[in-house]
Amino acid sequence: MGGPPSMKQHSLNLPNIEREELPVDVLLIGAGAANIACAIHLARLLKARGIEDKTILVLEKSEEIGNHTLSGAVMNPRGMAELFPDWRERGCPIEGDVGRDAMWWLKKNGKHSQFEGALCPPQLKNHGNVIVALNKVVGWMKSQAEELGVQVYPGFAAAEILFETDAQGVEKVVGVQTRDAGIDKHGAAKAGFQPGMNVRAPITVFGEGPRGHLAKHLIKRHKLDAGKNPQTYGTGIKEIWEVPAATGAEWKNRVVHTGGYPLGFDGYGGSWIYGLADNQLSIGYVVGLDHHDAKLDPHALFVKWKQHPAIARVLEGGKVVRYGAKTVPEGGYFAMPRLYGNGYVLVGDTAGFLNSSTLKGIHLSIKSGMLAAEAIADAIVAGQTSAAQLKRYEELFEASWARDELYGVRNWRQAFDQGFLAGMIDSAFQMITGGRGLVKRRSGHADHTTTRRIGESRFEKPKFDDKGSLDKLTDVFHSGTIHEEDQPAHLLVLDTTICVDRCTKEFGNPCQHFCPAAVYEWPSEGEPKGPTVNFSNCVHCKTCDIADPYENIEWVVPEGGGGPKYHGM
Amino acid sequence: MKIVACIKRVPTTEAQAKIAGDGKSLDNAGWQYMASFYDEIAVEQAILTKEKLGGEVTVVTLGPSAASKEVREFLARGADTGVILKDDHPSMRDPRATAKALAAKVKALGAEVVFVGRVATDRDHSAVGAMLATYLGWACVTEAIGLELSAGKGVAKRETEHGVETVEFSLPAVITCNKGLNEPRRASLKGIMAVKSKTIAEEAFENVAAQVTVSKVELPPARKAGRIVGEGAAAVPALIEALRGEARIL
Amino acid sequence: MSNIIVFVEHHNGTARAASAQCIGAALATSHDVIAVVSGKGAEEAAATLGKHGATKAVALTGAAQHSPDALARDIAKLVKDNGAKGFMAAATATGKDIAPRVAALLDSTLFSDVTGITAQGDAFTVVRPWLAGKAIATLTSQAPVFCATTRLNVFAASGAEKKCEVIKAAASTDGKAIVTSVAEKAEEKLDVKEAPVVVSGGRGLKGPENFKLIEDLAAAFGAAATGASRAVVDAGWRPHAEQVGQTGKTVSPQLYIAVGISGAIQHLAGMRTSKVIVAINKDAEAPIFKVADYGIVGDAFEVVPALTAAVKAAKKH
Repeated sequence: MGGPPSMKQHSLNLPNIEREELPVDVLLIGAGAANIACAIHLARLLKARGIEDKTILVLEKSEEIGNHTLSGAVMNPRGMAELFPDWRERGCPIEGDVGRDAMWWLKKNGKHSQFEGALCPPQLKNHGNVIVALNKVVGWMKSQAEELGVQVYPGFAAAEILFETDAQGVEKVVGVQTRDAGIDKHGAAKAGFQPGMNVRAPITVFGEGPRGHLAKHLIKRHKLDAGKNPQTYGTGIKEIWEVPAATGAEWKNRVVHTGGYPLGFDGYGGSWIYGLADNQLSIGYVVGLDHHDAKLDPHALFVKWKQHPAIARVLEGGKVVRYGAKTVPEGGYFAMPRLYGNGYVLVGDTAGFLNSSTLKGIHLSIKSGMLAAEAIADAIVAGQTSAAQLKRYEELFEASWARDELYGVRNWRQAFDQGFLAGMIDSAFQMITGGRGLVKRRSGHADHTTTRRIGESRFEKPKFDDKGSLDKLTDVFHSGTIHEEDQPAHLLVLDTTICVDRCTKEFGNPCQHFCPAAVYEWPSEGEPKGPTVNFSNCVHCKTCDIADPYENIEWVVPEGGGGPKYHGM
Repeated sequence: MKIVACIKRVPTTEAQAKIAGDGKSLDNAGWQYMASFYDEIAVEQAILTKEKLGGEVTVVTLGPSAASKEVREFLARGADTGVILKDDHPSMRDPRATAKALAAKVKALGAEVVFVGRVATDRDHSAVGAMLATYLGWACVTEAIGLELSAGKGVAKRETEHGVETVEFSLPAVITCNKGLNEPRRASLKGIMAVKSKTIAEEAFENVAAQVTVSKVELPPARKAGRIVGEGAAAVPALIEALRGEARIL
Repeated sequence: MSNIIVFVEHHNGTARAASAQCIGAALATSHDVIAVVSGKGAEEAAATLGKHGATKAVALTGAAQHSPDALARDIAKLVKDNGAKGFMAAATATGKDIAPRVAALLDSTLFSDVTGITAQGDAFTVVRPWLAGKAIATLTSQAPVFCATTRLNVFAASGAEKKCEVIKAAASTDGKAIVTSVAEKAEEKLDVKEAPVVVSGGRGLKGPENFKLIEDLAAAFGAAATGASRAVVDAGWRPHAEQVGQTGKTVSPQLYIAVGISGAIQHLAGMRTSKVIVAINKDAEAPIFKVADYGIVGDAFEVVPALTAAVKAAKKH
């Protein structure tokens, strides 16, 4: 679709198909917290201005709203309270108000130190915050949006961006093409083939979550990251556990974050344990994908963490009921792309709205959606959606508390590039210098460039069992992931000769390790021609798209409706 | 031609069975629902029939108001109208009561052909279609994998253990649809948008008392721990012995 | 003693095993069984039913072609004429086609695919699976006539022969639907979902050419189908129709043999309800052994041919 050859959009849609056109006024890609907040706020703003005839359409690739939404989550209510001052009375689902709050440092010898009250690091204090299942929250937000006339359609993935170039040679985004449904594994149309539509809109809002595949193309194509730090990501692994009543009661509303074992000082990461209602715990582990080890396996780190005596004690007698994984944009203020262009804006995780010192982003995502909504409302009134007009979104952001919060921790994550200890020292300086730290602006590295040779790998796999230390495939089962099997793999390994000729020797094919869903396997016998891609395991976390050292894996959308089912996550 | 497709809202295949406090029912907390797999084939056949012979497709379901989601999905695919025979306790309904309620509605609609799924994937009775036809006094073909309809009659194929039967029948008729009959289409975005705000009519039906009482519901017994009978080909006789003696297979 | 009418299927005069099992289930409720047979060879079949424990066998003759609705009417009439307390059939394709019609004609509900039946006098209680076997319900019938179909290979046929009165009756010929032809199956290849024995292969077989081993073992059992793990279907070694697992087919045969399948939970989800599970795998730690009733640790290329030979030999006895 247009653009120079290097700017080719990867897509599995069939070429030369006659497609229906669907014109709408505002098109939002992805039904996460940012986009639904945007749609809600926009509907209200337009109504306040007497505009009631605009179609606001939200497309979502998952089968049900919230199915692909995963977060810890402790929510700073600031964003939600701005969207709905009466959010609690309206029935926004929360699991509880944060009660006791602590930080544990796990030692290799099985012991741990607890830091509570004044000793708990300030960025990990959560008084006034609420524990939520974001999956439930966005489901609730969706019903609020529908009451305002917003149209929200799950099961429709956006496969390609539609571009148009005007007489002056200026390219603008004019909508998206939804994913074809009913293509078989060889790429041919099956009985019941349903071609994707061209959904056209003067303004498209990309809120696809971290590493959105359309936004990825757009950022590259329109150089939205010029002059910015590369975005850096962590991969978060999460399980929901059902625990014995005594443990459930002890942990209800409790929040614990841990550092130390198993990562130690080798990388950036840590974990959480949140006490939910009904004797359930949310537990998880996040590790930065700039980790140097070629065998980095976030799932394995998570398992090792669960095996630490301090954690094993908490989980004793319990069982896993849900599993999931997702990436987290940790780059912060200097890694955020330009937020707008001709005919589009970027919001939420897609645009890097996440405070990496607290690992909280829900409030910032909601705020970004609301700010975008204000700019879009102005654009609709002005009757034009050029970049010059939509720049208003970035101006609003720069004047907002969201910017102040993000700027306050602008160098947080990059400080850890030199190792964890250097990071700890710098971050301490950042706290007393309003976020500046030792250096005015720290640069960063793209995650795929940080992997070291396989020979330097020190990573060892844990031992699995069928109680707490579930292996990947068992965990994937608990994610409820399902894809139509007879379709082309949506994980494109662009050049398998790189895998065979270079990657095996240089990095030992890290895809087989970093994927938290066991999508990639490297054949152990014969002469492999490339990885085996079990695409139907894919939980849509995007780790592969980010972490492959040769940028040789391209994540594109599978048929709409496929993917995990993150109920209660 | 008036065409009716009957559907049932059932728990998704990943729904976990958890026994409710009364020990006589399942705790449905956290379940998600869908139209029974074979009912999708039934609706598709109804739409195909309309496309070929003309007419109008009505989707009928016995179930809660929430079934409007599934009904609406079928309207988006090309069915014309939907009716919910409102039943807040579908789990109490037995096949006879369901068939009677549907029979009354089908009669009222003046339908000439009715498509139902071969089985609803919750109670797995595989009975309602043929019972419905019997109460109506109509012809019926169950588990059809092929179908040709023409004026007043039809020919269907159905698979049995001993081969594929060809069945000739007169209309009106009830056809229960099996996998292989067709490939259900998906709704287009436009189709879904068009039916978004359509209200699905809810109607009362004559409540026929069930002829079934549930005494208890249990989870299936846990598997007995297995054992390794041996290593390599040398273990084959021990395996054969176990299959014969303990498992009574062979 | 009161009666239960059992619809008996036969193949050229020989009663089907499923029907003999159904008679066995009916006898176990302390009722006498009146068997009904129809179609070509009905009289020959009727004459053999004393052996399975029927005290009366009615052969419906005279209909040139099978009509399910006409047959259902004839059976319902026999139920009424004999004052039978119950009507039962095996849950075969034909049984599942006839039974609901008979039930409706008797204005009684139907208990399909039951795995247990008990009776106290004429009060019947059944056990049947819900949600594809995820739960097991015990249900009591209040129907005027107890109507049920019995799951295959669950009930034992009766070994006690009874003196059986054979009666010939005219079959109705006014069916609304008529079976005009039956195309015998071209090949004896059973679908993996229906087969009583399923032999599945996984990556341990190393290549598509080695699935001959799996096919041979299945052939040795006779009524058996071949299955496959997702890994080998993804690899293109086997067709998708054979895939057993969460995203493939869910099977619950009498016997499931997993060869060279490690037992990823996706696979287990599709076969763990099988009655007996046998695993053959080189890796003693493979998760498949956790769900297997019987396991052999060993090389498939060595174990499977030996097992095939042994099954063939056992079948001869």
